[in-house]
Amino acid sequence: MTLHPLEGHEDARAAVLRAFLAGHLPSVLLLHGPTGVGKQRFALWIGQLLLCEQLQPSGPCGGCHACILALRVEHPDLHWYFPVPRPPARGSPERDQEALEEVRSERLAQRRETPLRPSYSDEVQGLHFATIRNLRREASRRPGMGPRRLFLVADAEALVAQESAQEAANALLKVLEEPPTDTWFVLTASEPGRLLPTVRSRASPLYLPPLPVTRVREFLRREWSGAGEAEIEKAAELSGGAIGRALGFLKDGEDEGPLERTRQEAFFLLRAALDPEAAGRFSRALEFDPFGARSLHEILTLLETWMRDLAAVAAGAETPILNVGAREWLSRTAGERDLHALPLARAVQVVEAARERAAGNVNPQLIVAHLLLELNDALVNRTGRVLAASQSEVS
Amino acid sequence: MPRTIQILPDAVANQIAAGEVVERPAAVVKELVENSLDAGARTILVRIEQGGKRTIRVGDDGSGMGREDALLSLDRHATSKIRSAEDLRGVGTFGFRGEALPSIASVSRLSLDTCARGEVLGTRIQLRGGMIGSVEDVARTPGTTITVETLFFNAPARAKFLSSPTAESRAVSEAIIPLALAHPGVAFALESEGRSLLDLPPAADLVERVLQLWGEETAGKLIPILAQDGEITVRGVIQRPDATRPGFRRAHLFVGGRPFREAALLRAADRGYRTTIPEKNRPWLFLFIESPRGTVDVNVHPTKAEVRFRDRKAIEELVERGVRAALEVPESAATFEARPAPPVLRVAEPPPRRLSPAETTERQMALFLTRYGADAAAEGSGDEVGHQPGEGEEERGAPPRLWQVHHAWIVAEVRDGLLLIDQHAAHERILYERVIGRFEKGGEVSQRLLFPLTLRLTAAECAMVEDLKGLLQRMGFEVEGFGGDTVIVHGVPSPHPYFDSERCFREMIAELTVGSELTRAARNQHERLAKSFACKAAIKAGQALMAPEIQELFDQLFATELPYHDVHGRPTTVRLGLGELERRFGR
Amino acid sequence: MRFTITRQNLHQGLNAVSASLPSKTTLPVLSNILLETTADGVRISGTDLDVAVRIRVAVDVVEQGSLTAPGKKLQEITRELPEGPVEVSTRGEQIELRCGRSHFKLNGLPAADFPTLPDIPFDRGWTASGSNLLALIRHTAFAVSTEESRPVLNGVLWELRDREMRMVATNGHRLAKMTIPAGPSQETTTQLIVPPAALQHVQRLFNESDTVQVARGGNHLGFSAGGTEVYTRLIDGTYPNYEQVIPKDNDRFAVVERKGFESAVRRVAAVASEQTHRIRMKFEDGRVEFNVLTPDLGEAHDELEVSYTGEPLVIGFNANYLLEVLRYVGTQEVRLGFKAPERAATLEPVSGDGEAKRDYLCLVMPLRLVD
Repeated sequence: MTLHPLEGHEDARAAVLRAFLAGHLPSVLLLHGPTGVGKQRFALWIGQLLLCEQLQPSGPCGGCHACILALRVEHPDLHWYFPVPRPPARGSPERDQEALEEVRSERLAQRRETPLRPSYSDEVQGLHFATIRNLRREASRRPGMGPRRLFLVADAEALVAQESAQEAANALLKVLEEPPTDTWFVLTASEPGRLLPTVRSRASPLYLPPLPVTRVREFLRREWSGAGEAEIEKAAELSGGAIGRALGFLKDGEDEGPLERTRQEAFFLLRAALDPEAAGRFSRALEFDPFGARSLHEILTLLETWMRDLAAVAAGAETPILNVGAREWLSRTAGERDLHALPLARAVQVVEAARERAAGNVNPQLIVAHLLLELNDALVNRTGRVLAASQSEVS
Repeated sequence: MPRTIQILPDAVANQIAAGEVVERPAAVVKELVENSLDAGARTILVRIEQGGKRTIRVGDDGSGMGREDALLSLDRHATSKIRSAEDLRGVGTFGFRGEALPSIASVSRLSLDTCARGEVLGTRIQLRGGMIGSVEDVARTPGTTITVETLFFNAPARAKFLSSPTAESRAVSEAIIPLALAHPGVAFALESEGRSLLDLPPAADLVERVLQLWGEETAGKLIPILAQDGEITVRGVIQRPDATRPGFRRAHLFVGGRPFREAALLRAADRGYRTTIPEKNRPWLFLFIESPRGTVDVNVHPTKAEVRFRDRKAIEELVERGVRAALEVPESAATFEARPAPPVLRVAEPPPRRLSPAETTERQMALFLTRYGADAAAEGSGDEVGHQPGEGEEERGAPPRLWQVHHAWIVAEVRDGLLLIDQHAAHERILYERVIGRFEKGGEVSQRLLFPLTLRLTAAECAMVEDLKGLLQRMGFEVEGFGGDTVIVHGVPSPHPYFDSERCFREMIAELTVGSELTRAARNQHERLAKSFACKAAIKAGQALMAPEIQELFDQLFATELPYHDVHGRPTTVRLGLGELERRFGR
Repeated sequence: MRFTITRQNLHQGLNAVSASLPSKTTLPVLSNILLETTADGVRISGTDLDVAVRIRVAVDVVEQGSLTAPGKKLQEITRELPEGPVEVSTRGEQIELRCGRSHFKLNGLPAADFPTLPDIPFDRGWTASGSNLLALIRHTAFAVSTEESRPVLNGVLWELRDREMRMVATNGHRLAKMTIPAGPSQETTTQLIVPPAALQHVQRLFNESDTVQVARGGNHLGFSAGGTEVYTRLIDGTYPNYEQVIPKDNDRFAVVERKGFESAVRRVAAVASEQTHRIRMKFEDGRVEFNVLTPDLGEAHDELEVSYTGEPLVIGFNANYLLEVLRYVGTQEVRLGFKAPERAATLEPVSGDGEAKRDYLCLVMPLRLVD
């Protein structure tokens, strides 16, 4: 399979191309911007640019041998590193490194097979020390085929928050400090604030902004022929201008997309919050795993879209809603429950607070139970409660 | 009928610390079972109902009592064992104070059936709240059965503090277990509401008793320990390092055959395990201490769980050393699974081999060589260096044959099967002991470098290097500060041909600066450095080795003090015995 | 593509190429070899991206074309084919082999999937005799470092000049440097760092009697002789200044008879520590004294007559390094030079009658006892 064409980011493309042609392209770049906006795809485009044998004023030619291999992510000088789940330990750094390379190899094959995939993962992944050691060994050699080469280190935030983080970050740092000749590094991060300051300070930042929703919609129509118009409409609205995010709402074969499943979870949460029976709310909370708030974070983000839509409908606004197709339910619910924009706005804050907690290491059952109680108070009982009281009720 | 029970003189009675011995059913059971053991019982049957709150019945086939003795036994401070205050300091049999039975009787409905050996007719005495209700003849076989009903019926406040029947049953069981361990030859049974909680037929030895209690998985992974210093002996069985786990443990200490508790001795045993098990693991221990009369006071507390040694330090040292020595032998290596035949240890029998405190690495080496072949060791000394050859060991042949597999493990053919060696773990052990030795005696050599390493480090790491300069030098790292964040290394140790000195140095300094589980488990700076160095410098798994290097690694490993254990608390070797092999092939 | 080739030629070609295929790779196409027809024959290539091997065989080409096919499988098949002509042809992405009554079809991948091999201008390089080149490699590559912390030391430094080439390798503990004559070249002096794996392929594929062309193309270095080509990626970075560490002021020299000296070192080393292999030598007028003391093992003492000039000196070495270097120096007599117990020692061949003169120098750093 060949990579789909890079969508949008014309300004950034032009800037990179200009800098490269002038011989000023910084050898360490940090691409940052929302999840799913196409940072890794953009980095691969830079790789293609560096490797193209017949570079055009408009960018890589797309037809030369180097471009063909780059577009298939099979160019020997285009090195793509990304977080992977840690394989079972094999007992020594060398053998762990081997195991990690095997995992990366498998994942790389998957990415070549389906280059267009949702930017979503509920796995625990990391950029491990062994991976960076592999990168360092590769970097010590000169390029293998072309005159230049590119190392893409995706989701560079994953260098932290794991036990060998310091070692991995230091190992990367050592290469970034003195980049080999004819070698470029592109790091990507959706939360650049979480990068190690030492790593961040060595990279020139380049921001990739969200795309207009219309661009996302057009792209989906063009590249995702299997989906119906309503589905595409909804995915584009919810995408936040990120194609990778939009893909999460589209059907994956027979299955719902991972973000669509999450959106439905969020909907059930909203319904539970409106449930006058406390028992219903608690049983809903108990459906969550007591560990790992990872997926909860995304659910709460999507819950906010539901709250926002509900508020918009309750206020009688004619603006388009994000959860396309749910307008009828929203207006019916707003009417039946006599919901108004003000308490709904307050409820959004409650969700925000819960999302903060989910980012920390709090038991998701607890977070959800507490959240539902507070939402219920805000929307149904219209009373305020102190945190302590609700917490004791939960425990 | 002979009178064997005497009334204690008042002076003696006063010497005994006052205090209640009966606080819950388990305490009653313990007192009664101890009495049974003192009476020479071979079988002791305990039955309880409602966790002993309703009924406790302890029956035995011991010597029994005549009527007069039986009556005396219910009198406070009557005892058949102590004749004068002098005896108190010596070894006591269990129920020496003679206060247990009357105390129990005073808070329950108690009935005592007993028949002395050789008598035809026995005695039944019934009491209520300590008052004798009736004394009558009864027909029964020799032995004693005591039934305690409605404990604390006349002390409701005490009754209130009893736990649930389940908890009390568990406590009763826990009270019997130490006694059962100390007397493997005696059959014990505990039944609750007709359900069997313990069923321990007479066992040949301690290990078999452990097997009865906790099964093959535990009993198969015990190793014998024996240490002697003058008249004091510590013997028993302890858990093999690879079998240890964190959390709950069984640790039973006995002196003169009686259970006692002493946290300091457990700590001493744990010290003996140091570096062979992860820091959080708690090894199971069954240790019997023999100490001559007069060096131990067992009567510190009425429940007799604590004892006072005249020289506790000496005992602690002996325990630590004994554990250490037990871990030096091949039997302490991990095996494929619990051995089909657990090690035989008869607590009452003379030790298989005596440990002298001054045994050194040479002995280990020689021990290994006599065990696994190579005539060389025997030639030089002609002495078995403390090792008595066991069955088949006289057959000495060629040195062990060695193979490296998967560039990570070494397989050695040894006399009684196979040894599998983790090359990295083994080398860690070698380097650890080497560095510790260098810290103590010096004498490391440093390989000078053609191109000195110029290393940029963090400020904290530089400070660490500055602090450790002297020790690093003793390890072979010749380091010089270069001002700012740079250090220069002019010379490095060279522990093996594949050594990456820069990587080792960087990783070691980083680990020492930031700290890790490994370094935090170390007791002092020397240990910390030695562990960190050993871990970073040792030959890695994945490293192909040449035949002489494999041989060298093997020889060096068995020249260390604890060849079977690395520095993280993992095994260096796993044994696959011929027996196990044969069993697996259905031979 | 269609051509006919003898079984032996095909098999030899495949053997030469398959050794360069990677055992594991993130690029599936690399487990294939590339078959291409040219004007006068066929080229067979394989690579693991570090090293590439290309064989040219003259054959009659019936139909031009190219394809990649599984290398190990082709090798296994041709090994067992009967002697005789083999017809190789392609149909779509399949390759077919016919030999007598044997017929095989294997699935391949388009040639365009294969990485482009470097373009090496062999006409603008250096030439060296196979015997000199192989001697150069043999005498230096052993000293390469395996420590991954300093990647440049993982390679052999190769200096190519007009009429001369020199290799240097070191692991920081000892160093080997050798220079051989080469043909004239228009290329300017070049310093390259070559991975030893490539040199192994050179040793494997070229003979003493070959005249080997060596040339650089971009990030690669190429070797060519008799239709066989080896390409290697170079190691990036700057090699440390080795000239600076070669002692110029050594003022104590011993000339030893190599065999006798070696066996004395080996004898006393038997008692040396198994980890450091440290032996101590005391050089003084007319003799050298060997001393080894290993606490748990024992001690050794030995003496040899040697010619020695300079102040007496006591110095310690890793016996293995000494023995290794002595073996490569190879001559009957060897000259050792010293300055001080913590400074580098030099070892050089002393060419006797009938021995080839070699421009060869080894350094060994001493071991020092620290307290």
